[in-house]
Amino acid sequence: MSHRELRNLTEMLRALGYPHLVSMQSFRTPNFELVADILHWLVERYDSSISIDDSIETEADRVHFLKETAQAMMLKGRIKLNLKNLYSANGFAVKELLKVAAVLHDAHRGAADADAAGGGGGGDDELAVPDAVGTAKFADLKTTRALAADIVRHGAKLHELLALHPENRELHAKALSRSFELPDVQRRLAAQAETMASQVEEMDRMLANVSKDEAALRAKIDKRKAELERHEKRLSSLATVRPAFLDEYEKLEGALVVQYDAYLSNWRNMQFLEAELDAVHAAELEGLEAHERQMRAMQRVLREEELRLMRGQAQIDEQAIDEALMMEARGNGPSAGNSRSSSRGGGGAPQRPTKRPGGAGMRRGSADGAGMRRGSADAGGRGGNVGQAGGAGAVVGSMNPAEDDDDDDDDDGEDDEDEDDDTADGRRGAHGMGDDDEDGLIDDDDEDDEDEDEDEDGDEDGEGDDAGSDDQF
Amino acid sequence: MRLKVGSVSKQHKEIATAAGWSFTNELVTCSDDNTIWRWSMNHEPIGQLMTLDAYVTALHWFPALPGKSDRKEQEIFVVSCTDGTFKLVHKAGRIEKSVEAHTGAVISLRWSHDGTSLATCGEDGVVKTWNRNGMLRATIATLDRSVYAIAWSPDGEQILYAAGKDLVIKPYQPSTKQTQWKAHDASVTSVDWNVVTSLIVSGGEDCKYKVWDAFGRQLYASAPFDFAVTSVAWCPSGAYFAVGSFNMLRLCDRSGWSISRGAPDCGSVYAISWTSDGTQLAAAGGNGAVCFGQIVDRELAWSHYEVHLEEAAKLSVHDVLTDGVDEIELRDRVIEFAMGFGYLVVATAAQCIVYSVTNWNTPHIFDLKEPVSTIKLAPRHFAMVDKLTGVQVYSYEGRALSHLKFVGLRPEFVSDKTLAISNDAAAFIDRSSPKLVRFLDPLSAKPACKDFAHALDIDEVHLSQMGHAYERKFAFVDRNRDLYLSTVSDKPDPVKLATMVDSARWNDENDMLLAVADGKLLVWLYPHAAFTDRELLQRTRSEQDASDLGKLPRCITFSGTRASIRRSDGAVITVSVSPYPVKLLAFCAAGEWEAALRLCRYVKDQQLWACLAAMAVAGQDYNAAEVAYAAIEEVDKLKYMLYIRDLPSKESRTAAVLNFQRKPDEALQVLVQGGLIYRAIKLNVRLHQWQAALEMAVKYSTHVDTVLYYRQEFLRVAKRAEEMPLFLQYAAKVQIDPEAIKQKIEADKEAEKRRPGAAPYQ
Repeated sequence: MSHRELRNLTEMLRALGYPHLVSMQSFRTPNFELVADILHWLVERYDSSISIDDSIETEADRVHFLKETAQAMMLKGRIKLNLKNLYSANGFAVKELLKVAAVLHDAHRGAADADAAGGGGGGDDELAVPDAVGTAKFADLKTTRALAADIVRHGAKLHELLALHPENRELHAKALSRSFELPDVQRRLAAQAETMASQVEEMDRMLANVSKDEAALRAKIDKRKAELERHEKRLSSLATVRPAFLDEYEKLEGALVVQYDAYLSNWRNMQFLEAELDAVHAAELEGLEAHERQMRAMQRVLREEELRLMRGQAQIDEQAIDEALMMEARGNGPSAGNSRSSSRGGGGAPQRPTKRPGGAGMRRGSADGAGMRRGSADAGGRGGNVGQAGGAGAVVGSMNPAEDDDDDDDDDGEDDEDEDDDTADGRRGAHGMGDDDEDGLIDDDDEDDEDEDEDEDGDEDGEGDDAGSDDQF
Repeated sequence: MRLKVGSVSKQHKEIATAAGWSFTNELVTCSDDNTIWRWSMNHEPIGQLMTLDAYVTALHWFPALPGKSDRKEQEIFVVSCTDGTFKLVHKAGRIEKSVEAHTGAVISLRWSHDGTSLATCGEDGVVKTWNRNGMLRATIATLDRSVYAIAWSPDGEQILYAAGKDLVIKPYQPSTKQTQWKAHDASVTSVDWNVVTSLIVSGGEDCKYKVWDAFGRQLYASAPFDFAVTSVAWCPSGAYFAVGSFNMLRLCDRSGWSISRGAPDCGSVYAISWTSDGTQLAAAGGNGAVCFGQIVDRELAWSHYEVHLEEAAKLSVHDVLTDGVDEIELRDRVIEFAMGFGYLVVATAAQCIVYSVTNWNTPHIFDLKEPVSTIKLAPRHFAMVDKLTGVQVYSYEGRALSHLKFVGLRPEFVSDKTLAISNDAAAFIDRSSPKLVRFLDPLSAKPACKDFAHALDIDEVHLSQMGHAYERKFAFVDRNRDLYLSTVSDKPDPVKLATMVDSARWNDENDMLLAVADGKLLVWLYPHAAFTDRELLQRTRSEQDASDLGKLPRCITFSGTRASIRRSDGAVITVSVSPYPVKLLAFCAAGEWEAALRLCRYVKDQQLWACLAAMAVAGQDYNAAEVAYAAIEEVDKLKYMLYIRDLPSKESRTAAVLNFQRKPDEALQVLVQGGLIYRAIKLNVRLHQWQAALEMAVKYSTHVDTVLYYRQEFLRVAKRAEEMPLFLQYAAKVQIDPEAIKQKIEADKEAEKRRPGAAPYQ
């Protein structure tokens, strides 16, 4: 027996996949069972159609078994086995077994090599799985877990979809049973593909445009941003610069505030004084009116006195006057001299007292009386010219004096006022003493203004001041 | 880590039976097709070397020897043949010699590690040894059955061979007894014995592999595979081994657990050979295939960095805090790398590259002559061991600092257990006399202190990393697995810390010492207590149950408050220790005793108080020591602390502390140097060193009468007569007046109090 042969046999048996482990020590002592088992297994591997009775209980059985085997191998594989060596079942039997095993092993290796040559990395794949498992790192654990979860999810989905299968079976059947015209389908598919392609193109174009737009917008935004920045910069620079005129402006503003204060006080004073003035005027007017009323009352008394005297003498005259007045009203004044004298006595007066009794009427009447006084003068002046003018002229004539009256009244008023002013000024001088402090202070503050104002109005110092400050605004 | 099984090359037509890497990293394989092929390092066939007219069963290259400049012998390999011969073959393909060795086939053969002898075994059951030239030296054993496997012991004095189901360790010297034990349930097919670790791995037809120690104790037994294990081979560094079976190639850790499995399509693996740097292996397969395995995916972690060897020459450094990854591409393949103290040291086939964790871009690079087998780091420098040049110390800037060597240093045996390095000392277990630990200064390569001799063989030595040179300590585990602690000094006083220790390790960042012993995880929080107050040592020890660590756990790292421990089945378990002692030590080192006290009061832990007591004594802060001793209810020591505190001068306090630490000689020295003669004499008296006391008194001509007085008193109490001649002599001369003596003593005490700067401790 030889170490090398034993070793080779065990190796070949391992490679061929002999189901038991064969020890190197197996054949140190005769071991016919093992020899028979190996031989039987090898022969079966060689050709499974060979059927050999494998009972080896008696010597005859063993011889029979060996003979049969040797015969089969001789016939099938042209392998000559030495029965004597096999029967001794020791190291020499190994040599015989090797004859068979080597043939099988070579075939096996050849096939494996062909596989390797054909299949490329078949062996690598076998390696890959245990390798991957062996090197599974803890770092990969997360991904592994994620993948496991994925598997479950996909499995669940698959299960759901499979559950739907019975419901859809009819549809499937229908769909499958429908006959298709192949060219038609192809055409439709082609059309679909075309539309899809055009859509894709469209999309692409839009996408391209989008990017272009985006770029344009971005450029615009950038520009605006730059502008904004520039402006902000400018603003900040301007904010820091103090204009040259600001000092002067501020000085003037301060002066203005002072001036305005002065103006305000002056204005207040003026208002106060005006109010005072008005009050004085009102009081004066009141006085005048009272005086006039008194005068008129006295005149009336006088006139009534006169009339009474006259009535006592010639009551017919009175009737004649009335007639004359009626005539005058009809338009022909045959006796202007008469009418004149009579009208001077009191035109329309006989009716009036009955119509307007009271103060108001009295005033009106006095005004009328004043107008009459003048109007009669005018009428007298024009009497010659407009004598023939007729009724219209009479109307005009009657109207004009009324207007004139108003004007005259105004003039009178103004004159009166002027006079009042003078008196008021005079009075103001007295009254102004009370405000002296205030005015003096203000005057001290603004000497310039005073200088200016002095030119404008010498006497009206208070008002002149105000006017000056008004001008300034 | 994993074994990447690469290409399967089928150059051989028949079963490939033997493979071996040469010294120059060239592979030679033999096959039954009578050819011998050469292969390059890159797994490419170079060509057919030769044809033989015999079938080869095994091949072994002449071993690489350190310090041999002439490599002529190393260009030879030997093959065994089935025709009963072995042949010495030159690498060029020339048969130098063919020797008729056995009747029947020669099944296996091995060179001894020193290359002096060759052992063969054969089908005829004979084990023989031969000398270098093929002359028969001895017949070791004759058995009635084939011997399938053989291996030399690391020291070359024993031969291991497989005898059926048994393994036999046969000493080379015929007088000594052999060891034999039943290893497997079926025939043993292969064995290998590692040089560095002295571990044996065997594979058998019972489809298992087993790991044994050098005494035949089983350390690991694998689960059965599908087919018989046909080959086993240790990696040269002894860190792992490969196991081959039918269509299977496994890489296993030295403690036995399987790291990775490859399934190359190669038939039964009949031979495995490692390259000398241990990064690659070649396997010869039963169908003529030769496949190459490469160790990849090696990983290590330090602080918040993880270093991962992704490919042969590519490292990636992962910063866990920032989640940043730095890829490091190197020119040639990485052989060994280590990380610690803020540096990553990578040794490739031709260079050593040192990276700082703060800068991954500009490493320090220097060239290496030989592949490195071990790298040991210390805070300021690191040591690299390779077989030929020995132990070199480099700074982290890449400067060679020294070449450590002593007579009898065998660099090929230096492993991480037998070498320890720290900032100011390197410790070696002397291989030639394992009871010795030698200390060298890593900067000057001179002896740092006297060698330490132990009663038993020492298995492991560890040096503390932190602290000053004067408090450098080393821990060692002896053959009985007892853990001892001692200082690195000329006067070591080893303390036995624990028994039945599986693994021990110092902390990288502080002074803690961890050990797994007897199913418990022990951490000495302040080992220095052994040299300040020894009774406190047990009280500063934290003890955790470690039954979940199983049998033979190994501590891999111990840094900060975390330690990782690898179980024998390969699982890494991380355990944590209390963070308070570290804090406490920091406070004490900075002299912040108040803060230390506050911390202890907050934690309320007896261990911590004990630590503080020891630290306070070491730091000579008697107030803190007083509080700490009070807290742990050591009344006697508390009293003594109070006594020390009230001593008037600094010298007397120092002497008192030295007394407390059982160093009376040093205390005496301090007192004499400080001029405190009375105290020195008194100390001698109290130690009953009468002779010394009197001599001192005479020498300084003071207190002679005091000594005589005390002697008299002692003799009176002891009821003995004076016998010492010196005392008899002086007793005759000197008049003893107790009153005067007392006055003199008082005067001396007063004088001490009046010394400049003398004041009780505040």
